Amino acid sequence: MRPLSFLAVLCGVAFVQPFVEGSLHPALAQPSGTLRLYTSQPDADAQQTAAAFQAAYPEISVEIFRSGTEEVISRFLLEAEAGAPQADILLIADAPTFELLKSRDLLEPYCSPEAEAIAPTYYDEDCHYFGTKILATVIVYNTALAEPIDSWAALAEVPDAQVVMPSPTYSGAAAYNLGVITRNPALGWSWYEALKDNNAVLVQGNGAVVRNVAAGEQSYGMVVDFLAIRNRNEGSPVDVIYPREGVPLITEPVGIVKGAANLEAAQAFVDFLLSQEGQQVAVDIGYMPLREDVTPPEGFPALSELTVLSAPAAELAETREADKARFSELFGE
Amino acid sequence: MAPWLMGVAVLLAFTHGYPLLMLMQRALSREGRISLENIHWLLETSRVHLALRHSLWVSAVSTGLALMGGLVLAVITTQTDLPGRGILRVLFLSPLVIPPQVLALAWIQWAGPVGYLQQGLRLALGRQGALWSLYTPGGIILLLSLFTLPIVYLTLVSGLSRLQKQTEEAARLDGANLLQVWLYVTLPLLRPYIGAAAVLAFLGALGNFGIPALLAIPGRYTTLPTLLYQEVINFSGDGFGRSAALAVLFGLPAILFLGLQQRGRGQEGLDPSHEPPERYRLGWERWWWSGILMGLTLLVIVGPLLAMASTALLRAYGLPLLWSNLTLEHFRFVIFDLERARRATVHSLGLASGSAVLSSCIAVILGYALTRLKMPLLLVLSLIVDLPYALPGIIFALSLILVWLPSPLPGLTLYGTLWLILIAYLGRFLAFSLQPIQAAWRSLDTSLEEAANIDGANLIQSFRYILLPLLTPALAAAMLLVFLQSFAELTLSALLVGSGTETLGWLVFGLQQGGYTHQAAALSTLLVLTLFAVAAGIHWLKPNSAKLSGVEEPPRVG
Repeated sequence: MRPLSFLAVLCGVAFVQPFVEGSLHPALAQPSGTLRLYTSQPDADAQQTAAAFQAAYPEISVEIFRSGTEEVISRFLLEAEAGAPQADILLIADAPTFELLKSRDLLEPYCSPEAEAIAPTYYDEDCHYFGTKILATVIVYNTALAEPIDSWAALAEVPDAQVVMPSPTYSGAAAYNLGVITRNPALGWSWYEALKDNNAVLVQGNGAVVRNVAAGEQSYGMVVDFLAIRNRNEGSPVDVIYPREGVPLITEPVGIVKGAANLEAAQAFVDFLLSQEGQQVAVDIGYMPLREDVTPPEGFPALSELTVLSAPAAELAETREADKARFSELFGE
Repeated sequence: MAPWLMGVAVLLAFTHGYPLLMLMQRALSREGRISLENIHWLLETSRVHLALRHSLWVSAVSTGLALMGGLVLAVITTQTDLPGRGILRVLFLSPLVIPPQVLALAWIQWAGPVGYLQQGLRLALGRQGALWSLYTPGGIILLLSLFTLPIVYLTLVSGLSRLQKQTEEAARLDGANLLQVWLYVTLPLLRPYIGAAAVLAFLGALGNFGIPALLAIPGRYTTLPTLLYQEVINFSGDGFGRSAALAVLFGLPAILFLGLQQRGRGQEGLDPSHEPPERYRLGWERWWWSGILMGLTLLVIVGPLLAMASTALLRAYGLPLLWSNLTLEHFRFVIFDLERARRATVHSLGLASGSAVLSSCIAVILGYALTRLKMPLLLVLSLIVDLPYALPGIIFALSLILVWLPSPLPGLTLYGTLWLILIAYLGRFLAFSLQPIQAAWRSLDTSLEEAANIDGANLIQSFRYILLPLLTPALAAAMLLVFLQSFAELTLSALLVGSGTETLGWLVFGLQQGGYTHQAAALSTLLVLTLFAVAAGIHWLKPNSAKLSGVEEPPRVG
């Protein structure tokens, strides 16, 4: 009798469950358990994102490993290589990085229904990763020391070591910019050569660029917009310019790890980040959203107003090391 | 001692040997197969040679500077009646609790192109343009020597505190002047400690990433740690194998030093009766010297610390230091809002005490074996103890992941727990306890143990009643060094800390990385203030303030 009654209960549950728990996400059983998230978001931001997600999915508890982009990726790669990936989901870096992970078969495809609201350029056509926000690289300048300029071309002509930028050999974002800009016919390698001739200063990352420009060590810098805008809003003597040639965009994609222990929770996390609600969380933190139906935070241009410099992610992934090597030779690092 | 030694050897195999072997294996393979390609790359790439030369140069010069500075400071604080020596000591110890990245940033704000010092001087001198640049080998050397000076200082103090009073007095009676006593009596007696301090300073400077990251990258002065970091993040290709191969280069100087160190041994004449020497009385000139030293301290320690504090207090980066721009908001955030700060403090306290006590216990046994047993195998042990400290944290942390991810001990999963961080700290900082303790063992004459044996004392008894009291200064110095370093440890934590295992260093790293410069400065300022408070507390509680640094300070003379 026991198997039969078990079956009966099972059918009952299957029938009733959608009605009981389905208020928030109908037709899906609520995912539960632990979700292990690897991210390079600043700590407070990662906490806020996780908290908002947990409020929407109270059955899931999120465990975060947060560190610098490079640290997160090297740890993830080692774990994956050892055959024991510890993460369910990654929220880091840029599309070419995810292309590399995809080419190594480390990602689990999942076509999120929420992706429909997002322009196809911001996610992988095979659903391996999805952009979550827009980080544009812009010009930052010290308002007390310098006049605004309106283009990348003008930036390269600023003389006397007055321009600071992150080195592509240390910063993933800068490596992305390198790939995009050198492929742009109007800028290309000659743009970097001009910067070099004017003794542009290299630093480790975007944070140092904003600090140097705010302190007045250099007058102009090349930096991720949200950092500069945050500093401006705090009161630092800096302002941002979106150059007229366009801006390279990084989207901090999210992707599910192949063999994730908690696949349902990981999928729910992707859905959440892309949903209107999740994008609003990004806006509240101070990031520019990907969805057009979510208003960007104060101080950011609307997505539709941006001219975007881009290049195919897969191609960028392939040539990244060669680009970096050439850069490093050019600048004599 | 044999079972003890076996225990230590097994432990070392897990904390040091196995991770280093894993690195070696990576260096010698490519795509899973044995290959010498990475080694070829090392030998053929001119950037590697350049980086090696640069690193050896800045580390060697900064070691020399730190040794000189540390020696002067150690003598002044333990053997003279210079006014303000207690303050000097605590100030020069403060770089121990500041993560190198934050220290370098504080320096840039103090003495960089638009730093307070340069701007002030430019204004005073009426000159335009930069007066000097920190983004040069000179700047890197200066900061590395400040960073390693406390290590040298503590090591030398533990040696100086045990100098034999009679030897110096005998020399004085025979007509030697102060300089001669120093050159021919004191310095030779201190040799094991100077050797130990030099090893620690050199390896510390060599493996430091934080300072070159802020100074060498803008200066385009490639060093081994920055090159290694570039390769580690070069994850698409053979980055990890290459960085593992680079790690081998960090081992070469360590081997060199070890060889040198093994030659100087068996020093006698350090005081078994543990009677500290008298203080030199400097007379009225002491005020002069005190003034000069205080001025120097102001320039190299107080100034940068104030710059750091100003960052913590300023509303936004780049604003002038005006009353209206100051705020306590960042301190409030760190103390009250940063949820995990409290948990991180508890973790860091536990980890730092744990690694201080454990590493000292291991060092006592290992140091004894190294100085008394003279087995060739032990030389290998002492080399692998130094190596993880010389390696940049990121690569040692990665090798620990390689070891502990599929747990080498069935049924025991340490990955992702605080235990793994403890193992990492032990691995990295054991060299700190081993060097001073080994130096102490070296300066202890075997006749003491023999005498105790003849009198019928067993091993435990002779250790407890004869040897331990004599080792105490070195033991205290070792524990303090390890404690302070692991309390604010940053680079290992950056890779090994996960959810629920936060540490203070990880918090500072996260804030700094996420662009929260002010908050990182606030947290570091709090760490330094805590250090000062603890030092002051010890000073008030005990007139013998020098307990902190393991010095038995004599009653004031005169």
